[in-house]
Amino acid sequence: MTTNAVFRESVEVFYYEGHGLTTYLYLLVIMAPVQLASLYLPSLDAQMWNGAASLFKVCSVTALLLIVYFALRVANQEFAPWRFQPLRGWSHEHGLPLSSVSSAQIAFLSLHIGISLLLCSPFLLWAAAISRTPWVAVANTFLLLPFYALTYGVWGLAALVFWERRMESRQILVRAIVFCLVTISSLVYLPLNPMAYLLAVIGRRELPPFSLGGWQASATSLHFIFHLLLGCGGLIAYRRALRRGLAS
Amino acid sequence: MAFAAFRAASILGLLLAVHLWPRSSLGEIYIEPRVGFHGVFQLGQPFPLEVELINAGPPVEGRLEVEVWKGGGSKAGALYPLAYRRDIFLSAQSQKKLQFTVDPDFLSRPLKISFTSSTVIASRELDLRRYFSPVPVLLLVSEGSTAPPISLVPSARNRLVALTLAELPADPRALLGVSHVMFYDQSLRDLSRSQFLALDRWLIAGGRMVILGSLNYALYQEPTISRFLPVHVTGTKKIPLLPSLTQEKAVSPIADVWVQTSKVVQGNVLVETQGIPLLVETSRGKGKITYLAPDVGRPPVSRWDGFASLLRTLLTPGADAYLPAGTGGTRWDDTVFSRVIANPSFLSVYVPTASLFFAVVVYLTGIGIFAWLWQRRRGRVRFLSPSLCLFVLLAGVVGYVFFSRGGKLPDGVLLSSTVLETIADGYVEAQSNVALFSTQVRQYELQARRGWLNWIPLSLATPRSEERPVMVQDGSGTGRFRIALNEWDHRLFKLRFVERFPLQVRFEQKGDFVLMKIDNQTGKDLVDSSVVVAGIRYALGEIPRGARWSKEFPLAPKASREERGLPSTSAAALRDVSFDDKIRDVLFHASLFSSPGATASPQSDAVLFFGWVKDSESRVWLDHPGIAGFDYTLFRTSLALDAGEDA
Repeated sequence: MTTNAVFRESVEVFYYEGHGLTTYLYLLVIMAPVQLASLYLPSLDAQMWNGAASLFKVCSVTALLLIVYFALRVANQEFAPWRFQPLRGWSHEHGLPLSSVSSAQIAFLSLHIGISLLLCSPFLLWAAAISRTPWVAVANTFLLLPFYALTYGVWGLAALVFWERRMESRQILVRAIVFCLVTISSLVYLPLNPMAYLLAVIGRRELPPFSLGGWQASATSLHFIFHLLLGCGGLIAYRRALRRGLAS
Repeated sequence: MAFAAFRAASILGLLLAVHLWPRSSLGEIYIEPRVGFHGVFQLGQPFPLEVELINAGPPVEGRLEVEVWKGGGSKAGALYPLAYRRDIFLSAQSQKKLQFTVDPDFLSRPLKISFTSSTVIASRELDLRRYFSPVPVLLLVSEGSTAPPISLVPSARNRLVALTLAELPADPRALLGVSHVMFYDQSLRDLSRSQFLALDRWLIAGGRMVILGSLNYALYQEPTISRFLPVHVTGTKKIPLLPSLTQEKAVSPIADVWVQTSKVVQGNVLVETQGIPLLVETSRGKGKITYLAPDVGRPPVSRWDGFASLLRTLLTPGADAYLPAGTGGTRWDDTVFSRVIANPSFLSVYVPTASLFFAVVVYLTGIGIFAWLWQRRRGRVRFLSPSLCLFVLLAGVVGYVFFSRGGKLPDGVLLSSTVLETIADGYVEAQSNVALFSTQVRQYELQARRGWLNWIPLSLATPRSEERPVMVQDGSGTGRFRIALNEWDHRLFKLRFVERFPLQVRFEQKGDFVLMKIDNQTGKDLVDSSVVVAGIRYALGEIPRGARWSKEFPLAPKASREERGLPSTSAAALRDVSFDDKIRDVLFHASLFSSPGATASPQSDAVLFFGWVKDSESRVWLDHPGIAGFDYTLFRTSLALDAGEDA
């Protein structure tokens, strides 16, 4: 992948020129106070005294929101957009095939998610130790976070290709799509919501199964089917848009 | 053919052997329970339960459990089962009697007794509704269980039960449903030490003992009964005329009565004749011991028409002798507990806040240094990238190990807050509010100091753990409360003790002054002590052990206090009390005021002295490692002022 020009360009802009480092700065600057505040600040309710008990839950949900949000923004090339070449240029000027462009962008998104997770991992591990969270729940959290980031982040890539020249529109649209998906999923059937599911996994709670006219499906199955469909849908939309964009 | 028949017979024989084998190897256990005192107990109080196990089989080792139902309507909570448990071994063809003290709240569900071992299971259910009495029970202990002609007046509702000495329980709690224990013509030589201690503790907690004289005066000279008697019995004498022993005028006089002669050791002589004390009363803690010199079991007293009246006088029930824990002003619930636990000063006990802050700062600094190096020295990417990864991974792993195994993070925290209130004679009633919380899934065995009278689990009605609570008893008053907690789970308990704490604080109202005398004969110092007199708080600071002094405090009129902007009542002054230790603040106010917004307290117009016991020893503990224990003990005593004080 290091020989791929698209990937190299992203790495150059993000890491060598330092335009993407602010992402990680925000990530750390938000995670640290959230972790400390959830321990130090008095609880809101008499029944919620055990702030330390919920530390890993709070940190995981915060990490989830931050990693997904920044994955979307990175995929959407919201940091230093002027430094990236237009997609059509890669095809016409450099003669790169569609697969190279798409795999490079997905690889870079994955790299960004990996680094984000790596930087957040000490906070998560410390929180897990303090709140005595079992290893299984910690491991599941570390698997779920990149899964959600990729599932939602791929829609950032799709938006980038769909509305490459209309940056403001795609920024708004991407946020609107994700916000609607998260809100509607929690309203229609809570286990579809990533935060609710993550909290259930950490708390080792059974989520209520989905039942419709006598037919029942487990919450876990539905959750993963929904997110896999969402991710695949985003990926298909992205590749189609990319094919159309590179061909034109 | 013969071979086939032989084979069939062998198979049948084998099958029969297999079928019969388990039955022959299993024992049979019969459970024979005896409830209360000969089938009577007072509703709402603990009572003795004797379980006789009869083993008709081979030796067996198993577990005996008595399951009762707690909570319910009377306790304004949901029902939950509580098991009393004891592990026992029964030898072959034997029987064994085991004493329990059980305290069910809800009698509509049966009490279940079960014996479980690897080879045998036996159980029996008892409907307790057949046995209870709404009023306390009277016990008569007499030699050979031959009750003298003592009969209660027809209107008396209390049930009189005659017991042998051996039937007296060895646990003071089992006597809490008893108003009076009478001894007549009874040798206490065979009273076991635990039975003696149970009687003694029951007396201190508010029990009433009546010792009736007899011609067998030698029985009353034994050392055991002498510890209870307020007199030293020397012999017997026939007196020509028995003076009136009651207030009742209508009873006929009685002549030629045999009485015991004695010398008063301690107590008040209520009636005497010819220098012979006839009726002597002494107090012990909250309880009373009454000694009656005439032989009431023999004529002429036994046939005397004033005998019923005399008994009525002697058996007057004590007022509120055994108020259960929680009926006083001490408040202990989830709200108080959460105020303690979420207090920043207490937070660091169970959360390594400082270490976490330090770790976060170090980690962010490290990342900052890497970012700076990255931007300054581009050429060393191959070195910086793996170094950053290594740094992050090391920070995560080292921090994880530190915070999970070090960092002073305990497995659980045991907090007990005790209020000591003076009873009399150097005895105090200790009400302990206990909170146990766990940072991980564990089973705990909470132990209390010997002699506890009430142990009320609060907030058990909604157990978050599947495992039911178990009280492990040994029959002599000690017990361990076994309970399973989830991580970051907690349980609250209330316990009551009556114990010796010889700190004498006396108040005397002398006109416009209150004279306070203090004598600290305990082995403990009191700190942060104060006295509140007529709405004004006077700080007394530390009262060391052995301190003895007296001070006068002015009783300022209410109008004068209002003019000076001082609190108008003692209750108002107590609201303003604060300590350097914020946990003490929370516990102090919870111990005085029934709710945060309450305007009155039990001491609203009283002189109140209070102080914190320094280095107090907890009355409850856990034998588990990794448990952080905290004990706060407040001593307080008060005197109600004359009604006209504030007028």
